[in-house]
Amino acid sequence: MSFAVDSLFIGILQASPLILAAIGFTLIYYLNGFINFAYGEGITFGAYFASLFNVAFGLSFYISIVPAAILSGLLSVATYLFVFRPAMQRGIKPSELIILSVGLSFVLRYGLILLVGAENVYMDEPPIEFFNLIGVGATSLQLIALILVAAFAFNLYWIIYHTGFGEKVRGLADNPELARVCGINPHEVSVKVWFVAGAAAGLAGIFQGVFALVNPLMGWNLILITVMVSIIGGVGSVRGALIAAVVAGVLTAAITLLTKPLYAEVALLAAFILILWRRGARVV
Amino acid sequence: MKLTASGLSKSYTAHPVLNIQEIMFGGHGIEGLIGPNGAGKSTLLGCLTRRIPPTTGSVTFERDGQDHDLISLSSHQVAQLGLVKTNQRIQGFESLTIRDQLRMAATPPQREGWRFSWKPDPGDPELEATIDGLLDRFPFSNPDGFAKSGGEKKLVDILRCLIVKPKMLLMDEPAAGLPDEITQEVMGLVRSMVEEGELVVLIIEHDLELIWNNCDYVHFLSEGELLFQGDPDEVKNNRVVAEKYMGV
Amino acid sequence: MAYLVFSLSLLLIYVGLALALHIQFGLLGIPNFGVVGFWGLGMYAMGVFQVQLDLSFVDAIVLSVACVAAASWVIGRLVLRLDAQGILCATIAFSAIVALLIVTEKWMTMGVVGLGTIKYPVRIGGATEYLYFFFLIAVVAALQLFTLRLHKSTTGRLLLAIRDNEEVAASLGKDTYAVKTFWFVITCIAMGLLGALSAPLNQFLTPNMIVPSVTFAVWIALVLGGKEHSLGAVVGVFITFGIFDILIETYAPVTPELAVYVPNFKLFVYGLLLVGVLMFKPVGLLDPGLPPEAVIGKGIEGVRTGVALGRRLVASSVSTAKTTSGTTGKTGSSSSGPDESPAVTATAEPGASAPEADGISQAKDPTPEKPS
Repeated sequence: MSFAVDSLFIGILQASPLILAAIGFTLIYYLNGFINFAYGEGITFGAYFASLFNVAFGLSFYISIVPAAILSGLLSVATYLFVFRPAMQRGIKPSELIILSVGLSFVLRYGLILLVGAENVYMDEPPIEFFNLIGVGATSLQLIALILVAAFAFNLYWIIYHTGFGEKVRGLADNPELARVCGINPHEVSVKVWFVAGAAAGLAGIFQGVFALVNPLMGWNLILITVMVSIIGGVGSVRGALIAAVVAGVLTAAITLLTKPLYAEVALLAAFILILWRRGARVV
Repeated sequence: MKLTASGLSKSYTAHPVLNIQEIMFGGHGIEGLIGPNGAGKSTLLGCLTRRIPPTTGSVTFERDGQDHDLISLSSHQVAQLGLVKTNQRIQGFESLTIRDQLRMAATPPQREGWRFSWKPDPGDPELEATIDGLLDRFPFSNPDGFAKSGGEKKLVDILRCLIVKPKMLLMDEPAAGLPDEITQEVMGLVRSMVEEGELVVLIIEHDLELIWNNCDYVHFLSEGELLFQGDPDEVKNNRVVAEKYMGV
Repeated sequence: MAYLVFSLSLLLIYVGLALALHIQFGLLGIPNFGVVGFWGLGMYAMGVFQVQLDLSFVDAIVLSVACVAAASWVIGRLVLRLDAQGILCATIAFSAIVALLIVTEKWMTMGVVGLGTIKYPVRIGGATEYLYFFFLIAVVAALQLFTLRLHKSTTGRLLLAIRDNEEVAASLGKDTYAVKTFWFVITCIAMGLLGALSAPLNQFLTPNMIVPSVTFAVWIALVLGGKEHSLGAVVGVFITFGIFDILIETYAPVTPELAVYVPNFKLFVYGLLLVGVLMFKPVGLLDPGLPPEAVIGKGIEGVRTGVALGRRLVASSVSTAKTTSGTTGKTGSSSSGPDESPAVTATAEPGASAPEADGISQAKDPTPEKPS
């Protein structure tokens, strides 16, 4: 019993960055239909933006979240406007868009390293209190992160499934021509979606960074599992991405408790390949 | 050559788009399959050639006195048995020239194995002659170049299917995208092959003139069900067909 | 000098990997993002067989290749029915599994401690590295020759057809899944063999050699050089690895303070090159529209124009942002006519896909596909 509770708790607490990243990634994959590896750099940049306000300017961690998330969103919109949108207009195929996103991800990642160096950055953590819930310890920071993630996820969920804007997004993703005929401005919707997705990536990076440390490879380390979780969750399904991220987090925690953390990763990756295989050609 | 489907149905949602008790093709040289939009014609063809997995039912292809259950076969095995379908939508191989597409289609798999992977295409004089014959017959702008217009691509699609020497050819809207005189030339070619006993043909077409002029037998499909079949005159004068399709 | 031979040997390994990837992706359309997995498996298997089991060079090579063959067959069976994005994710996951297992299975791989020393097949004093280098030249040249011949064979034509439209190829009686599996395994074996051959070069194997940037370096080289062209792999590797890891590292007068920036700057420029090529000329520097034999004679010129174009692309991709919107686009797959020179311009060509006047131009609109 204690093992189950432990894995569940640790899993959910540690999964919060992954949940955010997966939701944002899913939005872009759903709307534009390609795997955007540069999304991982949004995670990294989010953490660096936060550490800029937090460490360099000395703002409180909780306050620096806001401008950092906004800047990440703007960065994401910039990649869309200056790279992906022109590329899509030129009729570049999805498989080539993925390679393009890898190239862009290199530009961003190594550009960042050239600018700020590859050293680890540690954020100034807010004062931490320890809580004891059903025999499991958690810090105030983890709990606040969890609450923020839950609020963000719930909001997005509401927007996608219950608002006119969400309807537009879904319409545009399912049938772009029809949506255009119906008077939906694809450009405007896309910019908003890329902004929200980028902000989600930034938040994921901020929490990942404050839980552990900030470095230029953190986004890359998180992107593979983000892609896996989003695909398994079902593309376009914010709900699915949420569930898959939690399951992945809990599984990782459980296997980590049993053996080594690296075996947890191996097991997740192998499970991912097997799930893709079972689903057959239907990746989407 | 008989292609029989029984108890065939396909549903994507609760409502079946195809529901056929029993249908048989191949008894009459050139046959036609007509029906209004959404009648399930293309779905039926997809199920017959294993491109679309049917929900229920069986499809049997009788060749040289032997029955083959197509449901258990994959798409390429169906083609190897001699059942080949042309495409309604324009589809092709963009990086092969027109001539190479025909060569590729006609080359048997055992001459494309690893043993041939480091040898230039040895070429088969008989095959080249056949290809030349086909390419001379139609006004391609450059048979050694790529298919450029939609019409050329559509025509290459049909020729590709003919050159694999099928026993039964299913043609999905062969006239769409082709000028009339080319369609007539294609139908002339097909008819001559049918008369020589090389193959039997099933045509799906909205261009009813083409059906009446070329088919020896016509099946009428509506709302996923087989409503009537008979020779062209019978179908033309049938009340159900008139009501459901020709809007009389 | 010894270091130069090492770098050149590594360059050959990259050319080999890019050639194998060219067959996989350029000819067959399988986006294998797990190149480092197959290469690394071959390399580590070689190390384990030689160091832990004390097998001879030849035995170790044969067994390593067998390992890679088995792994690639399993992966091929699992992923080759997926669409491009599924294959891409599954292969990248495979390479991550290989990298993780190398760290965890210390009893076999020595983990982060490192596995060594891996011996050259023969030692002839100071000439060993040179001899091995010539041996690698022979292996990679054989692979290049095979690729050139594959392009002209019935098999190559079939692979292209499967890449273009697998469904239609199957409907013409081609067993596309079997063909894909076979050539996927063969090309993965080539990657594994190159991995096994890299083991003596590196002598001492550590897990940080099995990183995704190997995969991406191969991809970038291939996409840059021309993924569909039989010489694209060589050209691409010379432009990327040849310039950065050999020319600059060996000859450029870089001060020690600046030298620390070179590796990151290299990857930054690789990224820019990749973005630039895909935006302005997705087919790569060498266009397959040109028959291969027309380029062989112009090999040197091809490289020269490639370098020039590369330079221009770097320059222009900086200003991408301003120029992209509103440019008439040439679609990604449209191939240029055979009369076009290899120095294809980076600007888009409107009208390249305009329908030509022919006898079979469309009379009626083809009925659009509608699921009934």
